[in-house]
Amino acid sequence: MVHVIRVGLDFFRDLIVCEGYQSNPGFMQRLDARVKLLGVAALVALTVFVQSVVFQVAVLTFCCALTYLSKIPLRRLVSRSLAIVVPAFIIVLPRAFLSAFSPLGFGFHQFPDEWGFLLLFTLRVAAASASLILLTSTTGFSCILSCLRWLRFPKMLLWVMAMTHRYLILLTSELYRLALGRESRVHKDLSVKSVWKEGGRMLGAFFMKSLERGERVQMAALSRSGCSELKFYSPSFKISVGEAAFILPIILLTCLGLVLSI
Amino acid sequence: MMTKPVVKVKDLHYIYQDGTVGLEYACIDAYAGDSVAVVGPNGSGKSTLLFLIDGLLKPSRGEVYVFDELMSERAAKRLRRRIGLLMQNPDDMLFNSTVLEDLEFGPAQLDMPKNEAEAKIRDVAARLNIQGLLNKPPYRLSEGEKQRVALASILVTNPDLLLLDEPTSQVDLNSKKVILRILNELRDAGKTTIFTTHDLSTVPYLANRVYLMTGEKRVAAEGSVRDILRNAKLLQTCGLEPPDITKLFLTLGSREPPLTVEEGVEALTKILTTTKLKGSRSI
Ligand SMILES: Nc1ncnc2c1ncn2[C@@H]1O[C@H](COP(=O)(O)OP(=O)(O)OP(=O)(O)O)[C@@H](O)[C@H]1O
Ligand SMILES: [Mg+2]
Repeated sequence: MVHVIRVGLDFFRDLIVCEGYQSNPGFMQRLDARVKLLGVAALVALTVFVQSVVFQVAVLTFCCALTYLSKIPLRRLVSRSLAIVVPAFIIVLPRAFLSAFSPLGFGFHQFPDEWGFLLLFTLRVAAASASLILLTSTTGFSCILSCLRWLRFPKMLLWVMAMTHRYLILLTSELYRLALGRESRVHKDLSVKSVWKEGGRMLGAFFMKSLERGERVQMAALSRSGCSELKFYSPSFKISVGEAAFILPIILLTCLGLVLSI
Repeated sequence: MMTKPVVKVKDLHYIYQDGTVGLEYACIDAYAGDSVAVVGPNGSGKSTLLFLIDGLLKPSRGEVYVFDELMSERAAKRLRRRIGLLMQNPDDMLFNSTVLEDLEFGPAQLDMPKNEAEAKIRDVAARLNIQGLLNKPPYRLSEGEKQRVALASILVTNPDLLLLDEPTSQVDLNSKKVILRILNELRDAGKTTIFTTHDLSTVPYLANRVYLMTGEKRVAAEGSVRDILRNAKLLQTCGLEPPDITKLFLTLGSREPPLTVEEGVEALTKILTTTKLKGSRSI
């Protein structure tokens, strides 16, 4: 059980922290964070609005090229995207069958067929998540926050984001340690019933521990003069040729999207 | 002229919310440039005492004065800008996604200019040998590395008063030496340190005064390092023992036992040379 938890947690933490690649000397890492954020936001918006398989494939190809240039293994981008794409695919899969029985087709009748929709939907999720993963893999969380602040996002929203991020990291390591501690002391195979029972007990202990942990962390933040106001250093912003090289393909993609949508 | 203490703890008592007594009684003074050790067995209230001094807990009875000002909820925010607290569990202190972000947290809260903070971080990271860890997430570090990073995270804010809860409990010998050297330099620079430990062998290297706490969560004695660490009987009443080298010399009947291995070597060399001299004369 501890193995499953560890793999799951590692994967999850990797999604929220994206360690290791942010300091690689790659193309995306060198870009001005504001340009990067706006560019990725544009890409995500385009994948949502342009309903063309060709377009989604073009965005995916662009993301793959950026991944290569940013010295991130392509396998990583694929595996992280799949973690989002596969559940999304499973959720919409029944619709393809259901709509066959519905004269209205759940409003999907503008597509050639339901399988076509399924393909488009999956590619769209893949393209959007690949863009976002690319952003988080190459930009530190506090850097993203300072860009959002530069964009005049509400302080309260940023504070909630920062706290959520902080506690997600802490609680995942807490859960992992708890699982490890239990596993090291349980020496027999558990029946299905007792797995449920144990799981419930562990969850209870996890909540209690999280509470205590949260209190300590809050104290640590207070002792370092951290209060309700969010303060962090902004990255140094500078725009050069690299930014243009990043934005140009996005402008071209926008034109392609417009042509395909008309 | 009498200088005023940097920290003055008067008749302090604390009860946790669940009714557990966290600290029965403490009276402590620490002056500028002092390095005060608070030693005692597990559960004697050492960590609680540090939280109370930092104003993170509100005393059930008694008072804490820091920089000559009563520690209250309102004063705490201002006073804490000059205090650095190292918690016993470094995991509690490292809550950002990378080590670098954790090191930047304190200076950012103090509105330290970015380039100044960067220079300070570079300097502290080099001294504590954690430059290679800056881009790693804290939860991927070993416990010793975490402790060094946690210490770095308070040193970067350049505090005047350091409250260190077991600062060398997890680190290896080399890192321990480095930490002791840094803390000694800070003391020489006039900073005040209050640290806790139950490992008495580090005390002579760092402290100039010792407060001894008992299992009943009271401060039982106060004195110079030599007076307290050589008093095996007193230490025993608190469930502690003198450092091994001191214990060895005490057992052999020495009246002025050494406190550190270096002093021990010196004392032994002296004994050996005198015996040798005596021996050669008898021949
Ligand atoms: N959050 C809490 N709630 C209730 N009781 C607590 C809490 N934290 C500590 N205590 C109790 O307060 C007493 C003093 O604890 P404290 O952590 O200060 O001891 P300590 O001297 O630091 O011990 P150690 O050497 O093990 O770190 C202990 O009896 C402990 O059980
Ligand atoms: Mg303690």
